[in-house]
Amino acid sequence: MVKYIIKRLLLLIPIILGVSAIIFTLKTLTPGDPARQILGNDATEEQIQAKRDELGLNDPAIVQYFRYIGGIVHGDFGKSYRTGEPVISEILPRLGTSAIITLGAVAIGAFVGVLLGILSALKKYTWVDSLVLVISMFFQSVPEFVVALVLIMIFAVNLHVLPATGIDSIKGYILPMATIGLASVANYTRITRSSMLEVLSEDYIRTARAKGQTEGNITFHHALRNAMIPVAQSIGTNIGNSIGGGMVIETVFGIPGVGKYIVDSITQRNYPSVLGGALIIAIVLTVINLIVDVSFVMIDPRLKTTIISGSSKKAPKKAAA
Amino acid sequence: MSFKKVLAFGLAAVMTFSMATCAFADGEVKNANEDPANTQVTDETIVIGLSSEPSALWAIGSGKVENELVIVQNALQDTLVKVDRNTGELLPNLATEWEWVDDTHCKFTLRDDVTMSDGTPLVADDVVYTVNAALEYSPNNDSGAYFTEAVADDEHTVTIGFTTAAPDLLKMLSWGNFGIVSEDEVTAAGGVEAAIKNPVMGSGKYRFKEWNSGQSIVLERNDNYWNPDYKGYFKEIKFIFTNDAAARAMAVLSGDSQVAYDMPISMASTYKGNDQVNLIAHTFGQNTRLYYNQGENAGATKDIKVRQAIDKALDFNAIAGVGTAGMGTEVHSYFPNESPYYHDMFTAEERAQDIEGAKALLAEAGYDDSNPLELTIIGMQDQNDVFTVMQANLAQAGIKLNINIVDTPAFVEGVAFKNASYDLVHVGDLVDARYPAMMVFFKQGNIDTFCIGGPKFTTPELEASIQEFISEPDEEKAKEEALAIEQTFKDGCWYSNTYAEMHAALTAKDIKGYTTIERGFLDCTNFYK
Repeated sequence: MVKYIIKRLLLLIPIILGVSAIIFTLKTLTPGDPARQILGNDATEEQIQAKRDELGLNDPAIVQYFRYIGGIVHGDFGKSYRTGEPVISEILPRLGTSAIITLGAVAIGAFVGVLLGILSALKKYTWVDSLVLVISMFFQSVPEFVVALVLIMIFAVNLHVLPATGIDSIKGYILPMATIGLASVANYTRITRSSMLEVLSEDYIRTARAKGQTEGNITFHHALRNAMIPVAQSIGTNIGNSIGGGMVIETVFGIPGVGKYIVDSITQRNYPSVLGGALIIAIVLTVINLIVDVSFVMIDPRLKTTIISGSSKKAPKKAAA
Repeated sequence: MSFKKVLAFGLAAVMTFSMATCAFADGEVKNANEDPANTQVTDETIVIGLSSEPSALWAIGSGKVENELVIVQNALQDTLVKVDRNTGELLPNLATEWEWVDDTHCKFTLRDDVTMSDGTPLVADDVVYTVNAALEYSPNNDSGAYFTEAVADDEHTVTIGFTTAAPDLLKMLSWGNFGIVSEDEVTAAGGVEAAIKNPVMGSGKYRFKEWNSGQSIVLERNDNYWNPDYKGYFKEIKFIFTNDAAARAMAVLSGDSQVAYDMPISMASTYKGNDQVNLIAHTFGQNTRLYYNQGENAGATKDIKVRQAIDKALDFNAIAGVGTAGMGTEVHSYFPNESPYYHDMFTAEERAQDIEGAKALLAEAGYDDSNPLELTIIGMQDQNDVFTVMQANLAQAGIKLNINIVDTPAFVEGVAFKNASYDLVHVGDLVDARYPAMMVFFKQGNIDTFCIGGPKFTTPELEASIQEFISEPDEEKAKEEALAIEQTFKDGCWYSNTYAEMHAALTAKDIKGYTTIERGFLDCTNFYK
């Protein structure tokens, strides 16, 4: 297990190199001179050149890239072109806000999705099953910013129960979390439904019924617990999706998170901030996925084979029916 | 849940959406600067939604002149003079009177009852410090580019030197970025670097309280304001930052904020008549126009007949209607309708769309319609419909038009424009006074070094006329010179005037006093109930 964790942590190196190389290449190919951006329209050519020298922008791109990577190793993600502050000091305070929203969104998505999945499985092939499918697919299909605006319209503008913008109070977190969470409902619903249907057809469920267990007990005590394993495994993936969704939603709700920071930085062509934000998100995602994988192995040792070896060949075969 | 219950829930949801939509009906539209200033005070806070967060709060110290920065700074620091936004008249502020010593030096007499944020009185040395700071930290932008020096003649008299003769430079001193601060205040704030983020300085109606990065900036009323009759009404002003215009508007509708600033005019009609909000639509101090490239590398637009054909083919009424969401009109001059230099340069007949006339001119020019013309859009990406109308108009005359939308950073950076080839470019120019920087597109120096639009062409005669116009001390003569310049533009068909750029804002129904400062920026200090 320790070897596996070290191996996964070492994977961060190619991930950081990959992400940074892609963004650095985009930065190099995109028109726009950061020196002029910092100094403004009226700066003289001499001042622009001096600033380019100061920032090292006159060096070959490959030299700039490895200088940047060297800085990251020492925790230096560069300085924001816009404010002149270290990027890391601007991102870290925002990381907590984004984390709260992401985790809340995952919780809402999983809770609603699992409930709908159970309902769908229990009422399979009925109109309830179809309705659940339509509702969950609706939230997956409609762009998140549209859902955000509709939720603002209902809960802030018409009902006045939640704020339309900002996170001055804890209420401010609800709509952003719900918006991002609802987008993942379909995923959880689908996984829960198929997993529940599979488990409900298992022999031990039939045995439980034969022993006179109530349907509620069978559903929630015997079936659900086993059906939850694939659902729980998908949480890691959904955290990644939710962070992606947060980039747009934080902007709509005016929330000072990493997502809004990156979006603002993109529109301002503030490369160090974009690069720093993207790298930190990549690192966070990798670590979260590692934590999720490791915790599932601890919860269900059977998963050790599939997760740690990366293969399902050694997984115990199910007994033939 | 029974099917009936599901149906009932669905209907309830539909009704909720309907209620939200029904809020938008017909009603009034206000202009900026309509309400008189208020003299009362309250302990309430007003929340103002801005589209983005400023990166600094002191223009001169930071070397920046961002819109949001100026809006906040204007509340914190008073300027020497101010301008009546309705008449354009220069008014006293920290300076009670002024006198031109020569073409480039102006002597100001300061009020003797102004208290700075640290409790010390305003003195001439504060103005000297501010001008010197502008020269040191903002030498390349409007904040510092036109000063040469400032000398304290005595405790309440100061003489400021300017780089060029231009009477309207005094109007520029009313801009929010020229707020007067004292050296002691900057030192107390922790020096220039710190003062940029912690601007507890100046003598404005409000004092800086806190800045929660990414979230809000809070100002509090200056209860020791030198003009007790014009204190801020609200105890605190809280700025929040929401990029999305629809979300800013909904924050007002929900009561979370009281003002949504910088709404695209194209969204204004959505809120016209909404009984929950006031819609304010106002001009932005600049006219938009379509410039024709006449530079060395220009293509078809180098031929005046092609330029005139394009001008005839365009439906200016439709373009202005789309560009201002039906709230503005086409413009017939380089200058806005409210400018003292405005002349109605075109008759209605000259402005009418004339497709046949355009076709005849193109035939005379031997125009080759196999090569589409390239139209570059700078900083007006939210007005795509305008360019679609232009495209359709020109298609009627047999001109294919490609639309190239360039993003703002590339616009600011400018290199792309020096190298890129465009036939037409649609931009707005600031024209609300005779500033030295006006008509930038017609100065050879700019064309050679940093040209971000315009015709890429000028003549020494035109440049001389523009310089004369800017420096003319006699207002009546200046009007004549403006007319002569405009005639040159018209005769050579240098560009086509389109419309006066408009912006919109929403305020809660009970909020009054939406006023603007230079360039249509929000004056956040005049709101009241």
